Amino acid sequence: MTRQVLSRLEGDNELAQIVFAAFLEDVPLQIQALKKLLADRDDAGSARQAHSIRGASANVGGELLGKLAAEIEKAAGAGDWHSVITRMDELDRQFGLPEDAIRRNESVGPNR
Amino acid sequence: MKTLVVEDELTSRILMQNLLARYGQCHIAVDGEDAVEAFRISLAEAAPYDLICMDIRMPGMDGIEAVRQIRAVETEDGVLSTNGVKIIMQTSTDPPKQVVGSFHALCDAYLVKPIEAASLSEEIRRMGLIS
Repeated sequence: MTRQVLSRLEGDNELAQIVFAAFLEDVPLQIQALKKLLADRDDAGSARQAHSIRGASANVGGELLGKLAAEIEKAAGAGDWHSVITRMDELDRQFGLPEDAIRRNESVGPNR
Repeated sequence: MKTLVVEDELTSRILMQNLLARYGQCHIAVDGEDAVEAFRISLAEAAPYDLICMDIRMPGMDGIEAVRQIRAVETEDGVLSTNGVKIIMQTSTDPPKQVVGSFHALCDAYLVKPIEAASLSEEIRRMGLIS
């Protein structure tokens, strides 16, 4: 995952670390915001928030989290709450995957 | 090169801001309304942006409406279309054809997220903003 991001950033490890830190800080807040929007049955807001999580995931190579967020975005946009709620159970767990990968690779350099 | 990054999502905003800071001054806006306001101020101060990188999907005013309004501001200000600010639209997926059609005449390029540093610099170079 880190290698993929470094490649996209032309080996700029410092920038990769800045992006990873932003992801770790902000995405948990985005997930909390999504849960609140879902509780309020705000379909447009939920779709938009899931879209943001998807974008953030793409920036750090979190493909599974991004795919799940895309599914939630689509289901929320269609008002398919059953699909949304089913997938929300997975969201916290999927956030843990890029989170673990980032923390394992915190000191990785462009040539490793 | 003076740039305005318009992006509501923090990770993407920080990424773009850092990539574009390599080429000069880089300001940020978090939605379309902020972007149009920043653009108006830049013209009023006679310090216009050379480039705007605009996310399409944002809360409030989206990127397409913001670009329409920015082009309208330029028209009001007497800026010739050939001299207008360069605009790169950013999207998470390949946008539907009708969306492409709706902003094709208003922007100069679009990039699919996640943004690659090489693709971004290539577009900026193609626009003649960097050598």
